[in-house]
Amino acid sequence: MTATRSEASPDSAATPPPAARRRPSMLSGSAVRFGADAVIAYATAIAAALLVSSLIIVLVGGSPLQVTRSMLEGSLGSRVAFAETINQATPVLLVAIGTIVAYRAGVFNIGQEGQFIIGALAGAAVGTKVSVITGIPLLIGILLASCAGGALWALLAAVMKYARGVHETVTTLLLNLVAYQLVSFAVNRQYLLQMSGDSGSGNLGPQTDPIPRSARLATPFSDYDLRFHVGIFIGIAAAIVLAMVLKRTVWGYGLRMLGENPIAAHRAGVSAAIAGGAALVISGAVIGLGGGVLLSGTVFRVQSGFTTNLGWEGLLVAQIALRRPIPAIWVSLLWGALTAGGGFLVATGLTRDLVNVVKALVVLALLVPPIYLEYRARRRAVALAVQGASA
Amino acid sequence: MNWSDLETVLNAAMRLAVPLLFAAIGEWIAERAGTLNLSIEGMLLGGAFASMIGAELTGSTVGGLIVGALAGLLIASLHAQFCYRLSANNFVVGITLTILVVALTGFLLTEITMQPAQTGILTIPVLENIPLIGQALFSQRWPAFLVWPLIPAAWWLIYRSRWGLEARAAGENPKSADASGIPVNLRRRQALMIAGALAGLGGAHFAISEVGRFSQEMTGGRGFIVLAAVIFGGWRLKGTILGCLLFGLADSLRLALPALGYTLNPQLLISSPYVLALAVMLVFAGRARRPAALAHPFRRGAP
Repeated sequence: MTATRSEASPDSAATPPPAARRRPSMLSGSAVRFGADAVIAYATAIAAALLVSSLIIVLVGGSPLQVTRSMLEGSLGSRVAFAETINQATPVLLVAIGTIVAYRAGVFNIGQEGQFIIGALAGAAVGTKVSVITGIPLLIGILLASCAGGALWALLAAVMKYARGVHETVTTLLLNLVAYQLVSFAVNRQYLLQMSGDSGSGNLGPQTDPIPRSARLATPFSDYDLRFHVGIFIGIAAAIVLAMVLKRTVWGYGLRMLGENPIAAHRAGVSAAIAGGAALVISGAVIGLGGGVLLSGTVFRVQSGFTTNLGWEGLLVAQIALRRPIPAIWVSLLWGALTAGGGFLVATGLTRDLVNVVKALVVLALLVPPIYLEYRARRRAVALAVQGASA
Repeated sequence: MNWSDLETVLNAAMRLAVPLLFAAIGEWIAERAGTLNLSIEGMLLGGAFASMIGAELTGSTVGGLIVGALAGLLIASLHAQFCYRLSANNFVVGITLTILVVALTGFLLTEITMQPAQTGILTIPVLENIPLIGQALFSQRWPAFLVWPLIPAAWWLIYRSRWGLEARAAGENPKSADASGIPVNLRRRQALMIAGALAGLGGAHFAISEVGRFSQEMTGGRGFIVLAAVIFGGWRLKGTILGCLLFGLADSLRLALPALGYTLNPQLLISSPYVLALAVMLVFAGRARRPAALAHPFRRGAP
C-alpha cells in the first residue's frame, strides 16, 4: 500500500510554509519525538486499555489485582519467568523486523503467517532429513533453510507483484492460506515429514520428528536458571543491522525513499521492482528465520497449526514500534512479557484467552497516541502557517 | 460417485457456502469502498457467539440472528472509527479486532454456559424434488433463503444507487471523490458497517442454523476464506458468489469424500481454490479490477 507514501512525503502543490513541512509522519514514525506529551499520550492509552481489561475481569467476577500480580510473576517474577519472557519475545521480534523491512519500502507484506510456517517447515525438513552433518553445522543449515523457505514464499508474491502487477496484500494473504495446507500436507505424509512410526492417530496430532538435540539453539545461561536460548541475540542483531542499513547505507536510503515517495525514488533511479522485490524477499527471509528460531529454540518440531498467530503478532509489534527496528526490540520484549504472563495465568485457573484480550486492547489503545501526536503537530503547523500568512 | 452421493455433497456444499455468502456479499461491498477487512473473521465469530446469547435472551432464533448481526455491526463500527476517523492502519486494526473477538469469546465461553438453539428447516414443495440440486437449493434452514434477495439488493446498491457510486468512488479514487464532494470516510464507514452486519448475520446463521451451538473458534478461519472469495471473484459480485460456492464445495468434498469411501488429498482440495485464485490473477493480471485505493487510508490534504 502506498499508505506510507501518502502520509509521509511533503506535498508539492499546496506546500505550507517551512514550519509545516516538517510535520511528523505517522507511518514511517521517524519524526514522532518522545517528549513529555508523547509519554503522557502513551501512558494514557495504556491506562485506558488496562482499565477496560480490568472492567472485563471484574465483570466475570475476577480480581484485576490478582491477575496483574500473577502476570507479573509469570513474566518478570523470577529468573525462570524472565527467561520465558525472552523466549516468547524472540520469534515475534524476528517477524517484526522482517515486517519492517518490507513496510519501510512501502511493500505491504501481510503474509507473515505463511512465511513463518514455511520457514519453520523448511528448517524441520533439513533438521530431520539431513543426516550427514550434526551439531552446529546442522543448526546453521536449519536456520539457512528457514530463511530460504520464508524468502521463497515471499518471492512468489514479489514475482506476482513486479512481473504481473498483482498487489502484494492479496497474494501474501492467499499464500498464507496455501501455506497452512502445505504444512498440514507435509506433516500428514509418512514419506514427507510425518513423525516416523506415527499413524496420525496420536494424541498430539500429526507432527514432524523433533530436530536432533545437538542442532538446537544453545541456552548458555541455563546454569543461572535463565533458560532462554540465543535466538534473542539473533533477533537483536537483525534489528541493529536493519537500523544501520536503513540509516547509513545507500541501499537503505533507496528503500526508505521508495516507501515514502515512490515517484521521487523512481526519478532518482531506484527501481521499484529490484529494491521493492528485494525488500519483500528479505522480509520473508527474516520472518522465515523467525520460524527457524522458534523451531530450533523452543518447539523443536512442526505441528499443523503450531504458530499460534505469531505472524500476525509480529505485524502488530512492528506497527506499535512505528516501523522502527530498535523500538521493535522493546515492544517485542513487552509482548513476550504479556505472553509469558498469560501462560502463568493458566496455572492460576484463568484462561490464556484473557491475556489475548488484554493484548488486543493494548494494541488498539497504542494505535491512538501516534495519530494524536501527529494531529497535534499538524494543528500547530497550520496555526504557524496562518500566523505566517497574516504577518 | 453415484447420484445420491453427489446430491449429498452438493447439499453440504450449499450449507457450508451460505454463511460465506452472507459475509462475502458484505465484504465485497466494503472492499469496493476501499476496506480490506481482516476483522471479518472476528465479525463471523462475534456474530456466531452473540447469536447464541441472543437466542437465549430473547427465546427465539430470530432474536439470535438479529443480535448476531448487531454484534458484527459493533465490531465493524469499532473498525470504522479506528480506520476512517483516526486513519489507523487497516490491517493492524483488522487483525487486532479478530484476535480480540477470538480471545473474548473463548474467555466468555469458560464463564458462561449456553443453551443450544437451532432454526427450523424450510422446504419449498415441488421444487425440492428437482433432482440433484433440489435439496441443496430448496430445502435449507430458513435463514439461508435470506441470501437470495440479498444478492440483487447488493448489486443494485453498488452498481445502481447513488450511494453505491459514491462508495465505489471512495474505493477507487478517494481524492477525486473528495474533490467532487463525496464524504469519502463516511461512505467507507457505512460500507464497512454493512459488511459487519452481514458478516455478523453469516456467523449467526452458521452457529444457530447449521451447527446449533457455539464452540470456541468455531468459524476456524472462514473469514479468510471470505476474503479469498472476494479476491477470487475479481471484486465482482458474480465472481464472489461463485468463489463462495466453490469454497463451499471444496469444504464439503473434504468432509464427505472419506465418509463415502473415496480418498482424495484433503490439503490439495482445500488449497486448490486459493491456488486457482492466484493462478487466475497471474494470468488475468492486466484485467484486475481491484479497487485502486483498497486499504489506503484517506485524509484530506495528505498527498
